[in-house]
Amino acid sequence: MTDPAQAVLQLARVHGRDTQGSAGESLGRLHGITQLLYPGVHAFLGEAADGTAAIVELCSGRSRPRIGAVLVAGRAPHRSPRRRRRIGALLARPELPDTHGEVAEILRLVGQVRGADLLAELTALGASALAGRELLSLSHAEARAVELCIALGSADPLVVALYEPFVDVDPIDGVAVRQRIAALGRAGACVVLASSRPAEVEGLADHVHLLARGRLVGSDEQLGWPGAAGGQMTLWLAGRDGAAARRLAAALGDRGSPNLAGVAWEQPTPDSPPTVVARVTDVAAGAITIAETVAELDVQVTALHTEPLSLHALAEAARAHEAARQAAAVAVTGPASPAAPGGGQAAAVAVTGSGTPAAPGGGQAAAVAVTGSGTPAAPGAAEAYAFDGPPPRRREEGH
Amino acid sequence: MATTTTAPPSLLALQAGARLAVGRLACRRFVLAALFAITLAAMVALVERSHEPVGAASRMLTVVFGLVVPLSSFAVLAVVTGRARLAEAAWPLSRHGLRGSHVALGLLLTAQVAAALLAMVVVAVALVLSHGLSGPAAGAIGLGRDVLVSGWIAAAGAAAYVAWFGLGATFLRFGRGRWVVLAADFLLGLGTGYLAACWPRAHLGNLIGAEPVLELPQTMSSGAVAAMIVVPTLAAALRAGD
Repeated sequence: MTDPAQAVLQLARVHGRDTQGSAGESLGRLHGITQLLYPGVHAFLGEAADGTAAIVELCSGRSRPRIGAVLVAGRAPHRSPRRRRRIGALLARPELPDTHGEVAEILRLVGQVRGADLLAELTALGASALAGRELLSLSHAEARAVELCIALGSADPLVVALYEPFVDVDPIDGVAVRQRIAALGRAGACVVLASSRPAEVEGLADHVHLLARGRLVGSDEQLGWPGAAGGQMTLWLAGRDGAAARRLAAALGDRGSPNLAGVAWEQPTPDSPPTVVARVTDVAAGAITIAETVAELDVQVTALHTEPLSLHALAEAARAHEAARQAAAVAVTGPASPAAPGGGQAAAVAVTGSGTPAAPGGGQAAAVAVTGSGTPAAPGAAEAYAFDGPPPRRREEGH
Repeated sequence: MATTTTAPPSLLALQAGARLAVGRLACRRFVLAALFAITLAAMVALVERSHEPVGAASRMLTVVFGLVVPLSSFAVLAVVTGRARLAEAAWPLSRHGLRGSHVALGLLLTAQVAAALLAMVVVAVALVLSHGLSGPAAGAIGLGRDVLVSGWIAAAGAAAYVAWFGLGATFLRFGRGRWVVLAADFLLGLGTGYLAACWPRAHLGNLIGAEPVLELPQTMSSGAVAAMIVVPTLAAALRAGD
């Protein structure tokens, strides 16, 4: 779905900030975000300082962008009560009415406005015990839980903007929230899900966008998305020879397995052995692919570590993708060129940092952009992954 | 789950705003502010009466209308809106699709009623204390008439002050524009020229027998106060809206 007319939420060169800090201070800012969002679940990954709180606040109509426009079905939500009626929002700071009265009363009032039975929604989310509570007696988490119930329970929503909906929403269960979010996405709502934990949106988000310091640094294929049960696998190789790591990385790239979203290697340093890091879309299937490749090359692996995706890894993936795109002009192409449509596997070597893959021992990392048979033919569209930070701490070791 | 999302009537937004304001007024801060205002007015009345019983009520009214009524009205609005702009104060309800201007209007009208009632009580208590409870029946009748007349002036004045402060609360961060209005009323409203004619203080002074602003008769000042209740209230609601 790429018809702009069908976009539910339009962000056009949006510069803005949130007001979720103490005394209305901002937690983060956005700098020139442009994106069309269609029905489905869109995860915006990043910390609040990266602008996730700001994007939720702007989508909710809580504040207006300093520059640019945020439009929900063609109308600015901060100016249109009709649009706000069809926007569910959970902000970083709960904003229930600060008056005496029971939760049930405010749910009835809001339900009357929004045409929804929010008390039933509260019960469905397992938080019916909050209905009889005084508004002023709610803890931060309980108030967020009530707001989450309102956000998820709105009838026929256009946009549901949620800031960290799995955190600080006791007593609501995360599984119930996931199911409700998925159902809303399927029903045609545009769910904007801001989270700092990639693992939380795995298997839930249809699209993923990465925010860093207020800028959109990557979306979907740049990040090796969508992926289910994905993660990052790090292999430490025996010996001090970086060539083995390079061979393994190249072989993994040449396999073009759909389970591999990207692979990178790091030359040995005096403190660490050569390392290969693979971004896998499915840990179990990816591990089998890696094991087969290791067996074929007869490379000796001394340790293996698997961890869920991190924001850092995603940011590096986006950066490597950009580097691969820029290096495409001087790409080293395999038997089947990336320019050849449907040509199977191809590899383009991009360099991150100041070192090159050809300079062993330099300590810098290289990124290998991998295209599988199902990926776009254009080199710039290759999925990529890179790792040039320190290797993760070893947790499990074996041969 | 119902799926109808018909536009809620403006009345619903007004009622919701009024209920929000009542809920915010049901707090210790408002009670303390009210007690402070009544105590201050009572002390002024007692001091004036002990100093010189003749004309004590007039002197007391000058102080009450010049100090207690504006400050108590300011306090009432501060309780209703908190340290926020008027639109922010309405946001907990307007975020759900109620029109912000209507919610803000509900907040302001409720604050005006509360401030008016408080001002009437303050003036009544002060008048009773300045007149003294003992005395002939004719004095009691005169006291009753004074309480009625001064009471409605105080109520109208308090409502006008809330309207002005409400409009001020739509300006500057945290609605600090209300402080500008308070200062302007104190500084400019003391005169009798064109600058003073914009502020409640000048017209309230005229209504309680002080020098008239712009040589206006009291009926004109009554009209001016009425206009100050309506116009700034509507302007504030519009500015706080969507």
